Amino acid sequence: MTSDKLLEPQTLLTTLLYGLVSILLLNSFGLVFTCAMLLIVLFKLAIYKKLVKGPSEKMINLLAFTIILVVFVAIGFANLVEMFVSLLLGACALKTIQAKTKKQAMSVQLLNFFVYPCFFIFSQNVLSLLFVLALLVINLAQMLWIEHDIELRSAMKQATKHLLLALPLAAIMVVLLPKVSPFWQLPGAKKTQTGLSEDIDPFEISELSRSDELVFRAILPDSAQMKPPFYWRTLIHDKFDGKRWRVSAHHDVPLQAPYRAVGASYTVIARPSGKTWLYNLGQAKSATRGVNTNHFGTLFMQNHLSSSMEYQVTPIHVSGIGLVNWQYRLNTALPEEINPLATAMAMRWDNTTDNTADFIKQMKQYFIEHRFSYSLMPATISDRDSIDTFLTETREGFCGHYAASAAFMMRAAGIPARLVSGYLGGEYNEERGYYSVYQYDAHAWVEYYVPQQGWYRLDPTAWVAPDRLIGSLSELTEVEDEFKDNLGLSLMSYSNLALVNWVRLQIEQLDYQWTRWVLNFDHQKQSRLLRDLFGQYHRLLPALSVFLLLIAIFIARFWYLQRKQLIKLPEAVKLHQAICRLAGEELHKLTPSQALFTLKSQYPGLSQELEEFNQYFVKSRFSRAQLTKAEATRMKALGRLIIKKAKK
Amino acid sequence: MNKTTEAIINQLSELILGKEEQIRLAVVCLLCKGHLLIEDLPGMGKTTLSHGLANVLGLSYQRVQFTSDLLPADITGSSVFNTQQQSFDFHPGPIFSQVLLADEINRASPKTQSALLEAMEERQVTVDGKTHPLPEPFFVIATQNPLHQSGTHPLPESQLDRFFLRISLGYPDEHAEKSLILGNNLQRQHLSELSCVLDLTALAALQQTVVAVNLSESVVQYIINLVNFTRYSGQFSDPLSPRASIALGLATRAYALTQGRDYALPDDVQAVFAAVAGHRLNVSANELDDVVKGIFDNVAVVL
Repeated sequence: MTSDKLLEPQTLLTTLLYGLVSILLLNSFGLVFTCAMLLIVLFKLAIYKKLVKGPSEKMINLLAFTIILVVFVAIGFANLVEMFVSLLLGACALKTIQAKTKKQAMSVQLLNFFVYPCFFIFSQNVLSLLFVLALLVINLAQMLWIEHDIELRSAMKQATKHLLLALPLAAIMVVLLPKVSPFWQLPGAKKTQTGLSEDIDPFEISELSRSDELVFRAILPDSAQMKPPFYWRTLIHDKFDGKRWRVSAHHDVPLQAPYRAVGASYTVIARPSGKTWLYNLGQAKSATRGVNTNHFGTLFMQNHLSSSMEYQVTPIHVSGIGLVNWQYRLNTALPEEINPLATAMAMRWDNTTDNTADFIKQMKQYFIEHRFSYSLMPATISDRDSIDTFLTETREGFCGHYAASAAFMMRAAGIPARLVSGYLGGEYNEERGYYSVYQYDAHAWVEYYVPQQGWYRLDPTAWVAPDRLIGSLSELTEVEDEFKDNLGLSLMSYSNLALVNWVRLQIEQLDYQWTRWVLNFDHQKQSRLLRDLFGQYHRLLPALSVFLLLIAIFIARFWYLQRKQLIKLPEAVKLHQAICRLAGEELHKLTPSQALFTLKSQYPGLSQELEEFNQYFVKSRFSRAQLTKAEATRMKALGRLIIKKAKK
Repeated sequence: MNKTTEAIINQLSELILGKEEQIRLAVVCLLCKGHLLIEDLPGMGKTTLSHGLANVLGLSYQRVQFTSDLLPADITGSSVFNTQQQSFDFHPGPIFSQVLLADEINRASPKTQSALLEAMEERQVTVDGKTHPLPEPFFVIATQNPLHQSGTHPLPESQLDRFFLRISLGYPDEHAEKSLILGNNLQRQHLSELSCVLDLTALAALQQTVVAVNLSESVVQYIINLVNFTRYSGQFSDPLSPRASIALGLATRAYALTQGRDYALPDDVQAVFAAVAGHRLNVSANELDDVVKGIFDNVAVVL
């Protein structure tokens, strides 16, 4: 088969792969661009089936212009990373279609080693890794395929073999090479379907928990002695405008007040979210660089979280907490004349109780007596007095509804209260002992202030759905059907099937290990691993030396092969040159006997040795006869002797 | 074989004092079946050398003094009508000898020169449509006076190439000249007394041996580098041709043989380079040393 015949199926395959990549990145690129890419794939398919002619240069230029237009309009400059990656993908696809010679196709294949790994910008989990590896293997196979005209199957085999051979080396490099922090970071390439947002109006949401995307994992050590429910505080909404609860500007202000640590540290591995907020239980401080505590006691970063990050969390207690006037005003502020029923109700309870605890009791009683129910798909309420409507008419909702209503009523009664959003619970992995928290675990609750005592947590949802507090939302039987309906096509939806659930948990675990050991493998972990691997000093030395020896053998072997292929400099010549170097640089322009003459005049004491060496040298280099083993040894010995004596 | 060549050289060295290297080159030329051009002023011993060489090798010798009125037939010979036999008899000229000394070749007219040069190349002479093969071996030693002398017709470049080597004897050193004056060397009249060192078969065998001398890859590369330097350095208007590089290789081998080795060294290349390349590069004999040294300085020896 000639290579030109191979070119068509080869470029078709590449185009199909581009199509696949753009489908998988649909979330990032958007529908318009993906459709455009699929059209290119179809076009290529038509060319392959000989339904249409190959594109002319004009046509390609037109297509390129269209792609650029699509990218600018559909993705735009707001998402620079997406824009550039999609441009790259589009350009490569067009170049592939245009390729008419082996060389052109080859250049695209080479470029693909850069294009495919761009996938990691958008997703860094273990499945992405496998996917990109597969793409690279195919790419390598395609190169072998076109370059050497071998069958695709054996090309695939060879490519896989090469990749597998390279993997251990890559692993060794990951483990041993010094870790340097990145020189630059991608701007938030991640548009998450986050369950949280900085301002929320729960009454406008009709469906919750649409995503089973992992948000973070937490490894709580046994010594931490923490018990569920786990309220992962993330955002504090203390500004209420009658409709929405907003995060005040103080969220990014580092904590100034003194504090003390109150428990064992734990580890959180956060997934990239493109946001600055992090997750912690209660009030916390982190020893990890770049992670700060704000005056709410929650953690935040200076930069957007664009890649997986592991950080340590230490529970703290902030002392000297009292509300200054403006804080008091902020946390009790309510717009005039909204939700009159709820306000009246709160005033009534306030009048009949003399402390906050009793007030809360009244509130709880109201929710229980009026048979409020928990639902993930409540009716939306869009009128002005949404809380009134919820409290007196619909009486069906999820955490946000209960929290917002409770916070409103507490503020109406003059109790400083704020809405907190974060995550509740998490799925516990018994084997490895970590919690996985997904987007659908997003939760909202209330914090209220008691003078001289501080802020307390109140979760009104618990009155209605007490089971919600234990474990993850996925384990809540009441809303099982709704929950699965919301998730759509996801392994989680079928978790009642034992096999599916087992597979899901295996993938989950693999991903955990991947995140923990590869994505978050930083300098600290590296040194810890090396210490674990090689133990203390007495065990370190042999292991290290064996390793170094192996490397040395490898390098020597490599060097030897290189030398054998490229530099055919025989031992005799090297010795001769070494001797000549003793006398001066210009000697390389002299014939052996001239060099001998010069050397003899410079080192008269060595005349005899020089003469003898020259004899052997000349014989080995110019005569047909080979030196005998003894002669060769003698020559080497002479050479070394001369060098040694001459240096003296 | 070392002994044979050594014996030749020793014998001739007694005849021409202090010119061992030139004598060796002349022997090299003979071993390579080439023709020798000696460029020198008169009275340097050119004739003596060529005559001596013929005698030492036991070859027949003829000397032709080239003058401006010398005709081609004077060299090649002519057909004379035999009245008794009623036929043309060919009377061979002096060219029909194993060693021919063409003295002062550049004094003859170009026509005569080219008659000789043609014979050198083809090793046969055609007179009146009849081809007469020249004797084996056929060795021409031509001498030429320096070009500035009056009444000379310089040999064209294409014909200079026919000469395998060009040497110049030059003035003898003081010691040698003293001996010459005192008449300590073999006199010309004693030339005939030179003992014949080898016979024709031995000479043919020796010539065969030349190609058996090992020319290692690095020596070949050195030759190529030298030749390429004359071609690509831009310093030479007449760079060396492949014929020259072949000659260089062959001369190197023969030179190694005269040194008693069965392998060639870069030294051998350097030893013959000036003689092989000088007249082909169109460099006059007195500039030659500097030019060759320049080339050697620029081309690294390949080991």
